[in-house]
Amino acid sequence: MSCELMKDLVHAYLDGELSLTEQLNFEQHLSTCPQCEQAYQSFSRLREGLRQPDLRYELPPQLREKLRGVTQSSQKRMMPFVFGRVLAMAATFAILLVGGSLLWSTHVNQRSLAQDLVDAHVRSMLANHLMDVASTDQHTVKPWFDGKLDFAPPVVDLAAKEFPLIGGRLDYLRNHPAAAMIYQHRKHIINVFVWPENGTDEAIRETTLNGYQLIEWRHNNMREAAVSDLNLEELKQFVGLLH
Amino acid sequence: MEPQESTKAALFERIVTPHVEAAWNLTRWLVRDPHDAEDIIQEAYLRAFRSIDDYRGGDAKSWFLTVVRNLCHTFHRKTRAKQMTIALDEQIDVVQENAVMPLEKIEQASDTQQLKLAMERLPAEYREALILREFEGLSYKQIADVSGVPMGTVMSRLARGREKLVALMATTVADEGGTR
Repeated sequence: MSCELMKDLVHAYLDGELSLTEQLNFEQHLSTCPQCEQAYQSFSRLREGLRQPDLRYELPPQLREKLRGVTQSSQKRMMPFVFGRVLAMAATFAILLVGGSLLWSTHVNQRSLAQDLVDAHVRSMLANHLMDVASTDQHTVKPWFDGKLDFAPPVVDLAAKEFPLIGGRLDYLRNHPAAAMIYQHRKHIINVFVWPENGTDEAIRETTLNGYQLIEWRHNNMREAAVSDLNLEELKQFVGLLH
Repeated sequence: MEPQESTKAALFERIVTPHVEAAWNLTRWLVRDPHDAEDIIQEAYLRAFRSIDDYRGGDAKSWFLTVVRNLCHTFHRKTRAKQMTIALDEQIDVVQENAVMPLEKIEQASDTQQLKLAMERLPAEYREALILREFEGLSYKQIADVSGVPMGTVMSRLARGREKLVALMATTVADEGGTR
């Protein structure tokens, strides 16, 4: 790898935004290139400097109190603390909330997994992040995961059904290493994430987030999720084949 | 009605309140005047409280910081505050080439005051990315969400921001050492 290429990678490395493979490649380059090593050291030191607590602006205690007042006054619908508009808004808001809040709170946890999965998918599409092993052959992809994971992800080839397997990747989700199998349909990429999660089998659940389709389920103590920008119908068809 | 109201308050307490320090730090770094910053964070708090229905789950910190960040930008547009984007590009570019890595000078990057000054002189979008990354520990994806730009832009803003910061530190140190 050229140093020119490394110039930006050093930041992604420093920020923990590289895939495992990229990270290893980068570290290998660092060990042979004094110039990049020096750049890395300097930026690391800069980071240490930036993380000094003195550089942060502390929230003044009076302001904290004031902020508490902002929400309390609007909650109790007393005189609004800062803005006159609150009073008018509060009534409308309360009505919206009655229906929304409970429903919404139950969604928080599920949503964040969905967000994690979509994030992982988006991340995989960035800068050659997609595959750690590129192969259209399930007999190459499956053994590749051996020794890298403490579980064996199900790898199938659906080339005949126009969803060819194109590779595999290690990912990290929910504090657990996950296998990511990459399939393709026309120009669309589908990431299938798999990691162990004990529990009874769960039927598929569909979510749309940030324009991506997400289908997740649990089968044989494995949590599985397919994420793609493919339309929902085709993604469902794909999940049906996978199942 | 009462239970839902308190549920809402509790929810807000759980979702937004933990990030108020981060929000204040970001506001202060983006808006120079402490009084303006106070107005902005109060407005942000209120807006977050009012529009918690718009919050679609997921990352609460990014969500709240987005509200704060957008208010800061609106403030700057309104007041046409130019002071936050001091154009030092020319000056920086002069030192850029040989300022790649003066290691021993970067040692002095631990000098808080100098770093603070250098940060203040950075173009606002670089400073924003650096605050979110280094102070608040946000990922590229989260920063992309808050700043409303693609992840690639986040990466390059951080890279350019750090390079400029190093260049600025080098200039300051050189100035103090009387070598320039």
